[in-house]
Amino acid sequence: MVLKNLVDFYHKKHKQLIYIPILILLFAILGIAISYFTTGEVIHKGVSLSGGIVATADVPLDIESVEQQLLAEFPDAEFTVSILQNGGEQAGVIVETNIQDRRAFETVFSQITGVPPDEMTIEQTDSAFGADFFSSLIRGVIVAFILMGAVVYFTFRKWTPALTVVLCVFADLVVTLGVVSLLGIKLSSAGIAAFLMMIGYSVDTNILLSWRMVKQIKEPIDVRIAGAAKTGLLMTATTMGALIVGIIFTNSPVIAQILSILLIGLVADVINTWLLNASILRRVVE
Amino acid sequence: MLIMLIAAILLINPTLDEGVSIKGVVQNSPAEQAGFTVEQHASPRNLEKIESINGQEINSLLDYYVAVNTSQLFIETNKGSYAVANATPTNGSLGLEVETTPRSNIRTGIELSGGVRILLEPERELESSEINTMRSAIEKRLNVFGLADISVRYASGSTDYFVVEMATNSLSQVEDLLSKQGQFEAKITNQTAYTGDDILEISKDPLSGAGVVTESCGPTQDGFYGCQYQFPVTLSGPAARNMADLTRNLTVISGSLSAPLQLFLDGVLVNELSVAASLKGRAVQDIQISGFATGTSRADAINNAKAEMVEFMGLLESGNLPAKLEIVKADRLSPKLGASFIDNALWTSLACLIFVGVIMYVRYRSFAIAIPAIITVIAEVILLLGFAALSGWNLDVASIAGFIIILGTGLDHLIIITDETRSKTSTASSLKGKLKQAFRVIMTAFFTTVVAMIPLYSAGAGLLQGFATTTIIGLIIAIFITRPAFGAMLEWLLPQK
Repeated sequence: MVLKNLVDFYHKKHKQLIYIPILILLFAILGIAISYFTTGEVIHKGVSLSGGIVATADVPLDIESVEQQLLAEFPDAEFTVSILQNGGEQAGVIVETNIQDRRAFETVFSQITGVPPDEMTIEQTDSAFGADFFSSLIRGVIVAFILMGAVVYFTFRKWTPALTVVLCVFADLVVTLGVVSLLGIKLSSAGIAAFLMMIGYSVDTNILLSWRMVKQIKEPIDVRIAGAAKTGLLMTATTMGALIVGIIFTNSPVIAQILSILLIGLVADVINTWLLNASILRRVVE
Repeated sequence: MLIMLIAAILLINPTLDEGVSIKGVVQNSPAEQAGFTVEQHASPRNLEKIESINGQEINSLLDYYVAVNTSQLFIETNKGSYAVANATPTNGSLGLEVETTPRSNIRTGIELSGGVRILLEPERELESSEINTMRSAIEKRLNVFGLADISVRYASGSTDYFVVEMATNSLSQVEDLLSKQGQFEAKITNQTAYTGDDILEISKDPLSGAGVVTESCGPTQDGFYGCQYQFPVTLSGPAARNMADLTRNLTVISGSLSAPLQLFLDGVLVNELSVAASLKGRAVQDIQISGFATGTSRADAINNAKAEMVEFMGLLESGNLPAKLEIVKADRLSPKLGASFIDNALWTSLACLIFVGVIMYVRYRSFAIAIPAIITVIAEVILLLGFAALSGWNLDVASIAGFIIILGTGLDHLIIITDETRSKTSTASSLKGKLKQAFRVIMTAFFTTVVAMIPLYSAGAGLLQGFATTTIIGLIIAIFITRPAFGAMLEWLLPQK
């Protein structure tokens, strides 16, 4: 019974429901703007984008003690020490720092962990390169958007579905960005790739909805949307489930970040597709 | 689809073989002298596999390292037998880079199998003709490592970079080799006698005198040990004559000329040699270049001398780089972490697969749908891996992320197909018609995702190319092979309405 009431509510109140995604979007934009004006950056960047070193040693040490020893040698540097997980236990330590002199850091880290330099995993990025990398990726995202809009337009041959899809995916992106920023997640280069992935993922549900709305003219609008929603929500739910399973099991922080960003994006997508996209298409088709 | 599956598995060529294979032969090493060679870009299962050393069967890296510490080695491989004489049997001096025999033909990028990656930015913008020169110069320098798989890629974007990836862990050595421009100059009385360009040939053959002069090793003043190394080179005719002109007017002091020959590398004096009196005024093309290296012990000094000599040779051989390279990113990735990561990825995929099966069953309450779904997903992965083995591209962490997308969208599309075929509100009336509808939707989704991946080929120094390629190829395989197969399976299994 509850489900039927919810569904009725959804169909009747669509004009009001559209405000929810719009509000969330505005909040996200506000959050990002505040972040930009206070820190000068739209998002938090990990050292692979801002410059620095990420080193991993497969010796399970106490992370606080490692951090203190590092600060003792390099008092002016910043360190983030975290645990390398493998199947629920600590398998090692991961250090992120803004130090750029790899060899100096290597020697000290080697002494602390007992891992010879030739056996440790270490990635060092110049800050200039990191900045360049980041801006090229951002450009890539913009290009992806434009191309995607073009594909949708050519499919439907009407501007409205195309623009709506672009708007909704854009909203997905911005909201995810806002949440990521709020949570303080430091993006790595792979994290930005995750945003691109998200565009691909979230567009699936929007296209499904648009297809049904535009092509199934024999059916009343409510039925069209309901049918699309049944399929679409299942899709999103299963993907979310798979992502959560992945996040729990993986031992790579890079993959964990990618999956988390996708998960947040999918949540945003549910709201934007079924409340925003649907409502806009309703008005157009009616 | 079945045919492709079998083909893919054959390509991947999985095996349970345990052993040690050769992935590189260091230049000028005892191993190279004995005849070991390595095929460039060989597919992993085709690498030469060591069967036994001195009669001892070699089944693991540990066996190998223990067996290799003697001076006379008789090595049998799956391709032949070699007799190697190794005068100084210390770790690594044999000159073979080995790894555990690859289990399959899938090449793993250095993030999974270990290696170094260096991004180099030229100090000024290169002309298009210079790019190739630069790339072959870099490759030549790195050839001293003698590895089968050295990748030097040029990534253009708003800034241009060279991306070097190789499966070694000597990051510092690679950095040193590449950050030096390699401008070599020999001067007498502050005038240039010859430069790196004048050197026509470098000999690495110990029989002609190239190597560390162990008799010269001795303690230095500050408590270290030092060794001299040398190697013969051939100068060009004009350079030899130039040298003769410069030495003609020098005087002889107790058997040597009054001014020394100074060797400069990138403007820094690396060695000063006295020139034999017999060379005064003579144009000699075959000369020796020598240098000196120190270490904390005699063995250490010998090793350092060898390393420096090899580096020097590399620099001279590759010649002057067209422009100086700055290292903007340097990564060393340990193979141990990579191995644990692969294991983890396999388990995670298995977990996701089980999850997929459960969901499909719960939603549709029919094994006829759940099982084909699982088969389809597994098939996609195998086909993708087979393609990877065939085309020889490297899997890296980013590619694994691409796999995740394939699996995820795969599921989405399978759901779309299933729902459309069962839908009573679809505009099509037959099962076939409904499938067609479903595919239209999927096609659109396919194009949008592919298009979203395209920018990754140029953005970010192409480091994320692996991810883009995996996703696109995976989607192509999925859209054109496996998902239609799923549709076919549904047609076959579901009752017609």
